[in-house]
Amino acid sequence: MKEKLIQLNEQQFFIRLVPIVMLLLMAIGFNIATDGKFGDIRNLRLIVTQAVIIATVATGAVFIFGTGNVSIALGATTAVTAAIIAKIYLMTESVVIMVVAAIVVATLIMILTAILSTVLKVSVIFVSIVMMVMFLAILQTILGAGTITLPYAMTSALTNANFHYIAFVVYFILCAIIFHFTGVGRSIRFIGSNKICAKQSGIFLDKYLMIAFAIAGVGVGLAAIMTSIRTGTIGVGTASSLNMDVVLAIVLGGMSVFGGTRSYIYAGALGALTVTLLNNGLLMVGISPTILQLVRGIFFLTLIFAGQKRPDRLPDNEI
Amino acid sequence: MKKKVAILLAVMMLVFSLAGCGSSEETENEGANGTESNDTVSNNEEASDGEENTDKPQENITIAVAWNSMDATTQTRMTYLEDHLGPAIGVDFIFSEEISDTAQLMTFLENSYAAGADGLLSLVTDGTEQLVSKADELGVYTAVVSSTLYEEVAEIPTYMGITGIDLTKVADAYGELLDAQFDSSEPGNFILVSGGSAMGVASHREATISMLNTLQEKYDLTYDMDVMDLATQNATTEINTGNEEVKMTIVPGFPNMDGYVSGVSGLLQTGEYDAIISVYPTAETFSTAIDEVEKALEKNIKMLCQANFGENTKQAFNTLDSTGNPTLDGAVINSGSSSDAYGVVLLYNGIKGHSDAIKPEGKAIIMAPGPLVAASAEDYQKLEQLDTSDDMYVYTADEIKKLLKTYNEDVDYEYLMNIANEFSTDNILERRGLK
Repeated sequence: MKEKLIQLNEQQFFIRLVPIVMLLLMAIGFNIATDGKFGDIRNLRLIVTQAVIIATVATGAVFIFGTGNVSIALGATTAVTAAIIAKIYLMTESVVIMVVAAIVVATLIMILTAILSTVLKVSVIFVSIVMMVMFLAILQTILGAGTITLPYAMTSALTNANFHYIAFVVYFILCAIIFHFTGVGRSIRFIGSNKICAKQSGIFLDKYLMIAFAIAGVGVGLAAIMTSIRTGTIGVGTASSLNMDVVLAIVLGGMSVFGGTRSYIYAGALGALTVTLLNNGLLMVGISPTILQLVRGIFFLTLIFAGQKRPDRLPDNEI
Repeated sequence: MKKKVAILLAVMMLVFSLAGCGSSEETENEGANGTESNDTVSNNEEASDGEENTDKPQENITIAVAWNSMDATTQTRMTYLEDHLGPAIGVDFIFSEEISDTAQLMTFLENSYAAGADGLLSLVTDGTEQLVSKADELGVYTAVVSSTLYEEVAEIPTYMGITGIDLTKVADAYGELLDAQFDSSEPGNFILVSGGSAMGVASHREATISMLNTLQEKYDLTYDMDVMDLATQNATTEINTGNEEVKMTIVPGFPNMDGYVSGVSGLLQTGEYDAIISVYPTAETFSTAIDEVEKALEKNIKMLCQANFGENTKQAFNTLDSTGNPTLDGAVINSGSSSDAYGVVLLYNGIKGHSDAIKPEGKAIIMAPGPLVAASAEDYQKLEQLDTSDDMYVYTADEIKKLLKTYNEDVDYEYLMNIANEFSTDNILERRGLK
């Protein structure tokens, strides 16, 4: 019996199925606990809307995670980009320029992180720590003593035009194609599985790290626009919790924290939905805010324990 | 083994979840004094107040509260709302966790709406324009504990108003406190904690300006910058006072910022400063740093700050430091529970369809409690019972009921303004029978 369970746990379809089953079980549980209020179509739409920003960044971050690296500057990059594009919009009053600027600025910032990592030969995580601190200082400088407020007419117009849904769907499809159906995706997963082997097979590690960061940068740029139109205000606290949510989303989505072949493009979106659904459900059930963190932590630990499979050996990535 | 751990955690999770649900039901029943369900406010209660008289019991309304911090004061305020006010007037509350950015605030608004909230009282002031507009789209009434009205959205029908501290009285309160504490014949060195003054927090800005003006007048100082510019410094800055005997350093920001407390501690350790004057509650924040310096240098460092009623402030005034002086020497008291109660009043009247009565021009209103001054520990002794028990809240549930048009037909804009204008130490002491 135990052997059969182990065998089942080894199978790809089972690994892919676990996060989805967990998401459904949670949804059913919350629906029962709230007498059907949770399953109301308006609430489900709210959950999807709230999940989109995390899902967009997480989808791009799958490329970085896929190489076996972790960046913790995604939230700070989103915040800096949001502040810059808010300033640009207030100067130009052009949505098109704002969108283009967001993608360009975020992509350049992300590429800069990758360049620093490859040139200095320092692990991505350490470079991203430095970048995060630096971006927060830049954000403080841009904002000065206050916040930047965007006109509600513009933010609501973009919201009503479903900018966030359209941007996410287009970006997700592009990422899915690149990650699962092109040599770029295969190379990234190969690097995550075994960096040394990939290198000896003729794969240029630095090049693919750069590509991974550039693709993630597009996602960060789109998320910066979504954040700006959702909140209408950019302050020092903007996107402060985004990075943790993204990392959590990727793990809860069933992707291995070690990258490699157990990397799926949908992991970010699925995990984002799980995180958002959990927050929404716990509030609707009426959990006291004083113990909410504890309950959420237990939920997350359970999901990670049940869904993650540690590799049989230590990863070969250098630190 | 992994699966066993997962199952164990799942069981723990379930237990905690159910515990959470259980506590809210318990609260509801307690509120009903064990005699009737608290899901409704009975018609008898209304009739006893001699006002609106319908045969059907009224359904509870739900108000979500977005907290900007989660400390002991917040816990006191939550207890007041959930256990005292809510059961008596038929309001259920949904409380947020600590909210630190606008995206979290918007998410809380949406989730509260999905959970059935009719109104939102926000203590988070960033992004108010967006919040109010979004809430209006969802049909959720809003009130904000802020001292700024946000004119751009003031005419949105579901935006009821603001209940932060009365700005016009903040400067006088700090002036009175500083006058009582410092003598012009004894110059000193001061750390002025300006909090969010540089970030646009109006009450902090007014308080800082008042400190600068009062000290300037008292010690005949000459600043090399405009007082407004000094008050809105966004980095720790030593001010040129033009008086060698008076040193002054402005410290903006909040304790949750990296290196903030250690920065103030470093200033204190120079041994040059005689007092910290703060625009927000800092008695606990800096108590250890002050105590260390007082012990090392055997000198008293005065702590004057903003405070709320409750056990923490009582303890701070009653605890003596190593020099035999109170840990908190004086305070400007902002009654947080009063701001919350006013917020509930605005939201309740709006949700029950009485917006027109309390918003005469269709515009959001300002219903602001004024700051109170406790210039010494002796002063605070008269007030220390407040907000520590059901009978001693600054506003009891019975008093709040009289501000709701559902229970009192006389309620209108002028009626509410009169109540807010009467807010004073004497008024509170008289109402609580402490005079």
